[in-house]
Amino acid sequence: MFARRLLGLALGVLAASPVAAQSVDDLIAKNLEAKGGLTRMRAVKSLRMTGLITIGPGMEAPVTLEIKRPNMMRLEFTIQGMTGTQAFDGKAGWMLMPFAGSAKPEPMPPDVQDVIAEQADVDGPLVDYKDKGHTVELVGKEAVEGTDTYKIKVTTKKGTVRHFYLDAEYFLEVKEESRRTVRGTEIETDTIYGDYKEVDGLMMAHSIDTGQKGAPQRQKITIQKVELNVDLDDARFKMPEIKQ
Amino acid sequence: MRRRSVSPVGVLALVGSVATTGLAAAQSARIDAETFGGLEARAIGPAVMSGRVAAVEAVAGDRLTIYAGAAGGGLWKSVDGGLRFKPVFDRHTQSIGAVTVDPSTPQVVWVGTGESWTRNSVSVGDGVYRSTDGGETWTHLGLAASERIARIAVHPKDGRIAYVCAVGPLFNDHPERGVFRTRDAGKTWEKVLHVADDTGCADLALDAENPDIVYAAMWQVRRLPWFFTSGGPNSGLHKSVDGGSTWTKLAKGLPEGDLGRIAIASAPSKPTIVYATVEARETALYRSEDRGASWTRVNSSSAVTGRPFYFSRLVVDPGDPNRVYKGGLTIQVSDDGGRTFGPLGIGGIFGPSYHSDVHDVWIHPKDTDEIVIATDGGLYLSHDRGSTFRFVGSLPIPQFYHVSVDMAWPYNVYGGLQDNSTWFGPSRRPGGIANRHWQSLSGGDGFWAFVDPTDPDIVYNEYQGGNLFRIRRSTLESKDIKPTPRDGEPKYRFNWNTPIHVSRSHRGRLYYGAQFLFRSDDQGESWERISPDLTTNDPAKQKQDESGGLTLDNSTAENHCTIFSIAESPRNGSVIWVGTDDGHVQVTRDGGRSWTNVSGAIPGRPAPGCRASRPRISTKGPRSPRSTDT
Repeated sequence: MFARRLLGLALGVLAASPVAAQSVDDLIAKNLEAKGGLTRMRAVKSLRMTGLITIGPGMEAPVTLEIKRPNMMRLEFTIQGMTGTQAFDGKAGWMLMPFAGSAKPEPMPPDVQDVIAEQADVDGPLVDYKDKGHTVELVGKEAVEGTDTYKIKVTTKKGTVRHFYLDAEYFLEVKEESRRTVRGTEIETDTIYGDYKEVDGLMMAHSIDTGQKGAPQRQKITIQKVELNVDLDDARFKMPEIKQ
Repeated sequence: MRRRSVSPVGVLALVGSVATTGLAAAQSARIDAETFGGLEARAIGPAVMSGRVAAVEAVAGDRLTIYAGAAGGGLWKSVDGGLRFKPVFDRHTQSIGAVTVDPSTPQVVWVGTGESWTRNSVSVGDGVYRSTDGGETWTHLGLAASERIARIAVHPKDGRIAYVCAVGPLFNDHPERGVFRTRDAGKTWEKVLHVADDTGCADLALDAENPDIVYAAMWQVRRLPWFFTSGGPNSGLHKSVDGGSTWTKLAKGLPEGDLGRIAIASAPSKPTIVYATVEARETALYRSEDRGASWTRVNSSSAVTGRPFYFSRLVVDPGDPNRVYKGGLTIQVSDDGGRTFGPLGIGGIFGPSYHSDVHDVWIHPKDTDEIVIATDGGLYLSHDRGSTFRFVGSLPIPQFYHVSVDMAWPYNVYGGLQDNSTWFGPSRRPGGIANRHWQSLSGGDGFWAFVDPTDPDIVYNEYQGGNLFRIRRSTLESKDIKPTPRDGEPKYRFNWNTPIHVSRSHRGRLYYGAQFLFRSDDQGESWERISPDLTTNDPAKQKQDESGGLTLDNSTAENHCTIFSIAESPRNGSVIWVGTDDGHVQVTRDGGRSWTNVSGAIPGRPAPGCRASRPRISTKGPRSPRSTDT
């Protein structure tokens, strides 16, 4: 899901420190340090990102992602004058997708609920991974398009396998791969992070290129603006009441 | 609004040749059927984006035999599981609504012409055809006035018995719609279910255990150029237990009040279970466990409710009565009897791994992981129950709204397609033209595309509702150049299919039409409004915001009282003709300072309000258009 990808970006930003002991924990610590350090990251209580997503040749759609601790997010995107919304209120995901003629908000499908629930861990899967029931291991070093990286494997409590590729020099994510099983078939997606820029002392990717393995379509998101600690009401993240 | 499909093979090079030479030839030659008698159309594709497939049918075997019924490109057959397709219906109407293989004799194939997904640019059919040799030859079996056929169901044991579910004419009342039955393989037909002349049949299903049980969804529908209405008191779900001779309207548990389009599916492995999506004030999926006697609402999420006129196909897994597929913007599947749905082909909201707008689904009866889907962008095959799909890149069935050519040698052909953006490709190449030689320019639905005659790297191009772009072909750099209202001006009304005219008299000059005519002398950087409202400006025909009937559907497709065609005299740039979609033909002879409505002076004009689609200016002199299509 698109939301997941943007959220994934934010997760990296908001990820907090593990207890360092083994080398994988050292790497995670370096990753957090490279992003600006735990203190700065934890100081971010909410954020808003605005940008564009390429949805076809010559067609871009404006997108806005808002995130608030703990575990709330709201994504809006506008295509040909219609605005779609996907949101998570900390417990459940919902959406308003007018593109197919639906004018009312509704819960996300169960498959997507699982994804959103897993991804709504705004601190990211690496933080307190043991407490969360995830396992983390250092797979080794691997080159990603000519860049040496450390490959870290995270197996989440629900069984999703995510691989994070940290630049061996700068320790920032350059790539993420995830694998999960949907209706008996394993689905693999990969995300390329790039164009890191500093925002109030935090290093954040401003280019996110995502696609499913084997599918020709890819979605490129370009972040134009990031605002930290914006005033966001909790009600923005809750599904509006449906008037029957 | 009737639009005949000319060819099953996308653009024909012939079209481009005529466009470039037509004006010159007009001065000296008489143009009639003989004029082009010696020319043969030459296919130049493209199949890279394919086009709308309205119906799909397949026969399980060592390799699948697949029939793809295109909305505007005829019927295609593959005998190798979908690698290669050949057109098998070129001599007949090219809009396909239904294709059904006789379950007891697979060499017998029935085709209902005229797609039933009733968008504004929908095509028309001319009845039912049947082949007894796997599609090699066809016999027309009547129902010629039905225009649109949504389903054909053939008795599983007696192939002489078939039911035709005819939506019927979309723009007018007509008695040839409803459910027709034949018991003699189409020699004679009985109209066994007719509700009203404005109400056709939208879907039909047979009970797998007892094929004398027939379900039929009746749909009251009307499209006007400026409004679409799905639904009314005549719509409803009907059931027959005697092979269609008598019918009962089903109501218990179904919504009260006006209904719209209904899709119906009986579970093959347990036919007591029946599903129906019912368009209503509260559109929802209903499930029956007693062969339709009573119904329970099980789902009203957007997975099942979107655009019923365009997406009303329900297919139950042949082996699992609780697994249901629903066509839609994406294809949705439920594994729990319809209570929850999820999309197939994970790829995100902007890009499922297949083209959006799924109209039909076929599932292998024995290996239910094998599915085929029909979309606005062609046919896709999946071997893992929809987790991944393979595109069929051998179906050249895009629906071009318009084509144009440039002055390169060999010249390139440009065109905008239904739901498949704007593309250009070469008219010829050494070794032939392949999919890879075609290139996309933009997104959305494509319409006009013109190369700037003074700068061949510049293309003027649009997507639906008047969104105009100037694109540099070599880099695909694109600039939005749509005119926007100034302070105090009313909202501009752009047609779904907005006219662009590139001047032949002035370098860099363009025209573009809303209700007003706009002129730019700087390649669209700035615009000057050079006319008053040239349409009837009839408020009754400007309610597209309310269009759709039970389901609001404001896509700009019903934008009306708009300019639909523009032509500037190639000899005198002050002479400009404009046609509107509500019947006006207007002319200025002073570059837009004054306009004259000359529609009343056109001899043989069909009717006031008829769309003036294509004025063409004579090169003999600036005083009159050579012709106008209405």
